Amino acid sequence: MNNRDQMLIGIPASPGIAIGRAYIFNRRFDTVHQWHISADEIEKEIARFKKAVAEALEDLTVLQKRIAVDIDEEAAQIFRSHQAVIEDPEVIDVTIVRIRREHKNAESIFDDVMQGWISNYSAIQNPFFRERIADFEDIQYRVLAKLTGEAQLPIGNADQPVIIVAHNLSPSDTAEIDRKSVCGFITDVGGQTSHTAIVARGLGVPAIVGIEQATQRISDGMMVILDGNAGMIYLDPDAQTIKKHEDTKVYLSELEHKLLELHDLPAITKDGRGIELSANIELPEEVDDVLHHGADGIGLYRTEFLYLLHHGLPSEEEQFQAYRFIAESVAPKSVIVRTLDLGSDKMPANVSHEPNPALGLRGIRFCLNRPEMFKVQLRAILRASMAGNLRIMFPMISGLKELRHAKALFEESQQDLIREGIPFDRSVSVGMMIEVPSAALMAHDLAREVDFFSIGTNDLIQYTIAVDRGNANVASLYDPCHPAILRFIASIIEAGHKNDIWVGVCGAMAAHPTAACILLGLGLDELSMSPIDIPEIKRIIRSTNYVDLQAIAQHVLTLPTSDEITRYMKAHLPTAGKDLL
Amino acid sequence: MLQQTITILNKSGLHMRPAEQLVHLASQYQAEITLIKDDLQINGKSIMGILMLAAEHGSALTIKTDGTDEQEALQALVDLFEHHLGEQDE
Repeated sequence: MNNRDQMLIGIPASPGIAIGRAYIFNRRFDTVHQWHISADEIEKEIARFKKAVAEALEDLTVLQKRIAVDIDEEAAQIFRSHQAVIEDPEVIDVTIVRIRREHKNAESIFDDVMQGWISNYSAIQNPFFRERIADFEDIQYRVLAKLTGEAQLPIGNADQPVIIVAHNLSPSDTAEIDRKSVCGFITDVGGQTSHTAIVARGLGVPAIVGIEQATQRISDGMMVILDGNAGMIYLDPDAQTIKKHEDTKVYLSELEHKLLELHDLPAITKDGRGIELSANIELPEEVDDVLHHGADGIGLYRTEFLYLLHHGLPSEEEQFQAYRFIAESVAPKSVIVRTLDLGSDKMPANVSHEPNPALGLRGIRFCLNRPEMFKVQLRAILRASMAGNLRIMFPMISGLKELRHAKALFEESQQDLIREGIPFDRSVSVGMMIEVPSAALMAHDLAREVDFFSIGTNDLIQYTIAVDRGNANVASLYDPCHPAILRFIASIIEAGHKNDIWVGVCGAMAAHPTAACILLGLGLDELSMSPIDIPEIKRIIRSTNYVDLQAIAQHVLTLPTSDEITRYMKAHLPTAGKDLL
Repeated sequence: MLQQTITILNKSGLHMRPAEQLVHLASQYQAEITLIKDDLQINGKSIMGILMLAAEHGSALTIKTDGTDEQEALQALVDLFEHHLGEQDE
């Protein structure tokens, strides 16, 4: 048996069990040592620097080829750009000149040269250029690791996949990790809606987040069991514990298999109330997973990942290709394309310089601030609308003024295409996310000017309760069953239905069995979630009666605390089964 | 020494990929190549420098070339800018 010292508890972020060796993914150097190089050793020091640079370039070539196969040619492009930075004369030649002049070791000079560039970039206003800092830090790490002989980025293999243990993972980190060589993720920080959780669920890889000091308590190469359902980690487990979890793993895969048998059956309650169950995706390659899990369509395509993975602004043509591919792949099912939603929690580390990014320039605000950039995306979406059933959705709308501004730009893009004789589907429906409390309060007025609402519960909860979901000190206050949230949602659904538009939910709440039952009872029309969660929610819907859910939801709206709501739901809805509450 | 001022035509500006194209081309010439935007002046063979310009769509850049092949270098760079730095956004 395990004693308590060998177990860690965190926030379950993606279900499933992983058994494997830990790989500590740490790419920051705390200190770079400096020492004197005597005159007769200078040429040797320069040769050592050149060798490190050559090795780093070679690794990038390997990485580039692998990403081209694993993701696509476009995503691999970033590593060609990294090579160009390593070969930059203002980096290489300057470092060599300074080693000669200052008689200091290569790592200290190189580090100083890179730091100089990074501090220059911190002053740039445009976030797309400032964001390059994350790339420069990657490059800095890569060359320093070669010079100091420290551990390299995981170039693992598919036969012995590792469990990645990191402080936090940024989108560029996850792009770089070879997906086939990873069987689990563990991070020190984050919540159920952090980037790591979203990516892990998208990939169907178990993950646990928010384990304080996991990177300190787990050592490289240590055998680890990760139970993504319970949020438990076992360090150095004995044979008996491994056997027990291997059995559970088999049982879970059989269970999933059974759930997949629901694939072709509709999400309909016993008394005939149908509900749209759609999938949230980040990347075009996820469409197979969407279809495999029996989704009715894509309820949220997060286009910002296209921008983040390409490290810059993808061209209209690149965006068009991605949107067209998704539209075609799931047609005649629909795809809701959410316009660029770059926000504080999605930016790579050290990029955001706003004092309060959650309340800063993000979502639609960012796009309205850059109409030329925004119209490139709107044109790409419109052009792709010919290939299937596309809908468009604006994020972070706070009121009518922003909605009308976004719609005016959409209208302009349509006029431009008409003038240029480029075909598009003129009946593309336009919806908006409701995730800002002011929009929730204005839902009646907003509903008259859009075709649908999709409630983004993650942000709606964060802004309504005023709690940062990524901050472990207050994360426990982040509560989907807070009565204020449920009452807010009830009023949004009512406003939508009074104006004859449909209302969905695309936050993590949609995949939470108890919360989903309450949402259904409130009359919600659509639930959108990670593909992996669809079969379980479908099973629950098919085992309940809508009239019962309606009665339950009405009673829940009268309860003043989430504890009472949770107790009431447990007593009245045992069918929700393996609940997370 | 030659110089010419051009406008950034590609929609997404002088970001990572076009910057890389530019460096690749500039490095093929012997001439010293300098790019100037507002009061910032950088080495045209340095991707770090080019990205520092944070040159967006519509901004004006001055290209200076100085060396034996300055004529050819300037012509080639102006051509690249006119062709949207290899971006297919039109």
